[in-house]
Amino acid sequence: MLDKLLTNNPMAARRFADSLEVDFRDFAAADVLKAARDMVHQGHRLRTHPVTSGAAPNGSPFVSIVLSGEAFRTDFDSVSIIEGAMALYAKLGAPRELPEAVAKDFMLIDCEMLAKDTQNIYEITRREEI
Amino acid sequence: MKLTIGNINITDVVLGAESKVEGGTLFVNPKELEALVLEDGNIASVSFDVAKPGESTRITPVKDVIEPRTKADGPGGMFPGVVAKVDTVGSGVTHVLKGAAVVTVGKIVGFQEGIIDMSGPGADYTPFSGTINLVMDFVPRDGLSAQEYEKSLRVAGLKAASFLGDLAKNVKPDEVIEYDFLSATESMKKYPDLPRVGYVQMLQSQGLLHDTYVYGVDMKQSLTTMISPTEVFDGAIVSGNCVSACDKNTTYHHQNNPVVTDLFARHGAELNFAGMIITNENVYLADKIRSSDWTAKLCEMMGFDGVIISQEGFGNPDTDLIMNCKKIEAKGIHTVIITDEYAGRDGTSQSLADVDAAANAVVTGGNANEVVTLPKMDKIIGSQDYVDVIAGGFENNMKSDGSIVVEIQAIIGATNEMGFNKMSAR
Amino acid sequence: MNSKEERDLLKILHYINQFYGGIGGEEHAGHLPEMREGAHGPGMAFAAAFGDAATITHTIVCGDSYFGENLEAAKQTILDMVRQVKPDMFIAGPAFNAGRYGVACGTICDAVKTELGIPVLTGMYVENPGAEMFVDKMHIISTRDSGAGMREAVPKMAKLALKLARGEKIGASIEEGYMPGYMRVNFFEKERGSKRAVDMLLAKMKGEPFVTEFPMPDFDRVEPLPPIADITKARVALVTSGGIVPKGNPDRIEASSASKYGEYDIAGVGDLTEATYETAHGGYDPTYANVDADRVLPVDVLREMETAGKIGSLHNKFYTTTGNGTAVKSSAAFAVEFAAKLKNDGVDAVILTST
Repeated sequence: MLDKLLTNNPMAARRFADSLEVDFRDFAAADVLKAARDMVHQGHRLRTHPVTSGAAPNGSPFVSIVLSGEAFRTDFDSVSIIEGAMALYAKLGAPRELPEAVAKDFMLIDCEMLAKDTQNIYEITRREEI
Repeated sequence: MKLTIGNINITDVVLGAESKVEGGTLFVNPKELEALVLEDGNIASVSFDVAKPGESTRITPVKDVIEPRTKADGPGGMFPGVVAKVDTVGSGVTHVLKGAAVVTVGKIVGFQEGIIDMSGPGADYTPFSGTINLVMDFVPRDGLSAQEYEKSLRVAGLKAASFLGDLAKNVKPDEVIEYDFLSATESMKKYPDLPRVGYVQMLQSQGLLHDTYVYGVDMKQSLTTMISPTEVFDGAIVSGNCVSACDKNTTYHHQNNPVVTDLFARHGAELNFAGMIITNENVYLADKIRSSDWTAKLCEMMGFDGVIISQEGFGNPDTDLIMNCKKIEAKGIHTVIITDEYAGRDGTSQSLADVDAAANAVVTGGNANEVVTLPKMDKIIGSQDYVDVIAGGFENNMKSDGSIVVEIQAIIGATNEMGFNKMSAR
Repeated sequence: MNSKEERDLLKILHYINQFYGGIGGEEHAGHLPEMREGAHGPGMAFAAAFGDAATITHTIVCGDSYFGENLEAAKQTILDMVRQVKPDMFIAGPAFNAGRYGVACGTICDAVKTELGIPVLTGMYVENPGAEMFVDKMHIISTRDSGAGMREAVPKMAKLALKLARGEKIGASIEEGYMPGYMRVNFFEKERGSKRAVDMLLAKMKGEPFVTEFPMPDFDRVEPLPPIADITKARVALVTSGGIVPKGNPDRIEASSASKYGEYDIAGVGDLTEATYETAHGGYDPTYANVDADRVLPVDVLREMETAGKIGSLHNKFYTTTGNGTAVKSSAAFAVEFAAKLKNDGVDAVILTST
């Protein structure tokens, strides 16, 4: 089973279309985090830290989170990390409206944070759970 | 490994017809540097400027700051694996143009930050208001991708700093400092009664604009490993970062790693500086777990009694920091962590994204969200176009009198997590 | 038109308890809030410290018990007094280690700050339960544990009060003397961070005292015991910080900052009804707890489980207190006592409920 990519970044949705099961949500960043939180409570594990970039969160409107495709027992590390990320977004405020060129740059950085050979990571983490 | 650092005090930088170091002045022929930089076809043009302490000058957006150094004697050269060929550095004699710095400027992405003010209230927050800066402002060729642009800019700065450093190969240093890093057995025999202290340096490695290179290797592809602390003085670690200006480590920070310097200062008297570990800060949680396991394991194998852990960046690196701290403490090894805080503009929010009771000894570089008004400067090197989009900027933060209101996170090195500065918070 | 000096003179309203107001000790702790003109008690020392910069125009005196037992009424009366005076600054205390006084100072400062937007300041000893409750909500000057510390506390409070009233930049907690935990403020140390880290590590390795620059939130984690082997044989007890008590609150457990806990017999009780039980707890809407106290202390459900053989038995005593404003230290002390009783009575498991 492929890992899931929960994202509001159209560039990431296209880029990882073959390697991940893309779940594109046209949501604000904070709502993407909430959706990820719900999945975590349903037993999906965080593969990536939801706060990927030093430019986020009080800059970037884009969030991309990789979660396990399969649901296991609720993983408390995942719960605590997603809750911490939600608290950080709540504290530092919603990203502002951006000029188009800048928004594109944010999309690119958001993609690049996940670019490290996702297939390879997937293989390794799968074995950990078997 | 024995390394002698020879500091040549630079009191002025002058653009002129000849490149040389003479009487404490660094003379630079911009044509020579330009030719060197334009070897890379991705750079369309470059302009040069000098910014001195006390001037009404703002440099932004800064990509990197690099100290000109050269290998005057011994194996290897500066920035091995990037500029010099791969060869182990950290021994012999290294000459340093102390007081001078190369500052690279170029807007790779629209939200890039990084301000150096040479005077005024902003100058108090950055160490580079105190150096004489040779600023190189780059224009990329049309259609260059962000990835290629970042690489070109990174390498151009390192090449320039290396070129300038080489000018001082045969200049007599004003000050000589010796560092001797002993092997595990030598140091145990020499200092049997002193506590064995290690340094764990966390290097940012999440991806584009968030990367660090060690001997040219992208650190996110590496397992946690060991390095001689003398190697960092020769540019073994270089910065590929240009976001999170306040708490990223520039190459200059690596070349002058303050934890390494301050541990050496007490070495042989109060402690035995027994080793340095470098680890990464990746986005994938499996990497974080693996790297922090590895860090704790190496600390145990080295028989450390205590370690200092320094962080880089914020957000997900807080998770690496706490994992490292918890796992090392669990081995019965004392830790002190160096971090910074995002406590909100009024300072009343929870400061760290991740906390744990094991982290009972913390040094902080301050609250990066603190707001500062930077007055109008007579001269801008680079561009202020996107100052309102940078992470530390506000909307409509440009006032009619030309001053800008930003969080100090927009200022290069303001809350450095290697403990480079005196700033703290309570 | 007033001269500039007069216009700049800051108006300060001071809150003190019945003891510092010169009314009397514990026997007068029920004193209703009253407002007097000018400075009284410790206010005289403040007035001297303010000099020409500020004047205490009014002083509110209120009994500590009255405040604690009539929280909402006391708050509203005092807020009305503050509205009437419209001060530039509100100071309460200092309360030193007087628990109810400290909680009152914190409570009223919080209300004045959030409801009226007027800057506030109080002072107390670090172990005062009011400090624990309000340290993250306002500036609290750290004082000694008794009135002997007045001489030390007043200049610090006066200096910070003037800055707060004028909207000036507030320094870091170690510079101004307020308790860390409310606001993180940058300042420049004498040594750089790396040197401070080496010093801290050397002290930590030697077992010498050191001060962390960022105290981690204190999580009091308890290692869980192994699971109950057979719950159908276990004796289960109920313990709550939700303030459930027999109707009429026979032991007078306080609505907040409880100084005691209650032990009540529920032998033969199958259901907590509106006629027989209620909550003593302040700080939340008690309607639903009063209508059916099982909502907080689920005796009814546990009786059913007992009957059905799903648990061995329900212990015939429950322990209760109010968690609202009760110091962690007091709670821990209560628990040490009744945990021993539970153990003696052969209880195997406890279900803890809160509000």
